[in-house]
Amino acid sequence: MSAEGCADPRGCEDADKHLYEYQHHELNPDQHQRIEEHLAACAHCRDIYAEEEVIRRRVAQCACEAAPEQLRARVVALLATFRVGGR
Amino acid sequence: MLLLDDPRAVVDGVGALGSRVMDDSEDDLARRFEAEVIPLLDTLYAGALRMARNPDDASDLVQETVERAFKGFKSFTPGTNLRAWLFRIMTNAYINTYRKKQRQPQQSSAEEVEDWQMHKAASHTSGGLRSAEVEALDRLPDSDVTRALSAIGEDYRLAVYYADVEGFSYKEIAQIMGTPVGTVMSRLHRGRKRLRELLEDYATERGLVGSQEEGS
Repeated sequence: MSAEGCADPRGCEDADKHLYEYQHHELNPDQHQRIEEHLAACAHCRDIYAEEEVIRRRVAQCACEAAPEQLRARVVALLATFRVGGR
Repeated sequence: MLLLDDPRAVVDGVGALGSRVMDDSEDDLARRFEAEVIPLLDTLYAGALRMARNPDDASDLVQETVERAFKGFKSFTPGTNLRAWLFRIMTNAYINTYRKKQRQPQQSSAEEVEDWQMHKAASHTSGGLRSAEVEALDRLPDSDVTRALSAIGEDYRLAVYYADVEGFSYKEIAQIMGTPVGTVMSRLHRGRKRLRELLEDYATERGLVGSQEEGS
């Protein structure tokens, strides 16, 4: 990505390359701060990051289905067989 | 709860004797396992759905994972990440049984299939009306988000799931998936890019974003 009008195009490249690592807190403190400062200064990258944050939140909210009751009952029964006398 | 200093030593030491000591420690192990695994059932099921992708197979996969995990529970080090350990077992169970059974070619060669899809992602325009896109993504129905997740390659989907839903570190994901950290990073990168691409498409189809890209 290259932001039209950004004073620091290399910062944009850097942010693009490491955005997910930044988001997942996988960067070392210096790298993390470098991206953070770029995001504070560059509206373009900030917008992209905002979008990635929404996507992460939506995925986290939607991909957490509850186990069906039937499965729960099956597993509880299975676990009981692990106890003494059960197997 | 640990009642014995080292349950492994006790269990292994008397394993063949069938003594009362063994019964007690096995029982303790079983209760500890139960206490730790039951609260993780929802998590395991959601993870299994990302692999098996239908409720019946996902349920079977959870059950098999629990069975395998109990067999290996003596070698699990208390205090380490049980969730990551269980997902590693689930991954193996899935690869060994379900993936073979399912025989869906587009899943086993996910990376190749994704290659041509990525061309589209690369040409996607950015800039302008970004905040409108953020709003649109927020308004998409949940079913669109899960649909997009199941549409991306399996390895990408799982990497995204482990990072974004489970919150595992890249190192933990690498251990779960049995790949180098660099592979995890590229799967995450491509998976998330593809996901964004699909979600933006869905938002456009639903008329949630402005029509500045008409004709595309």
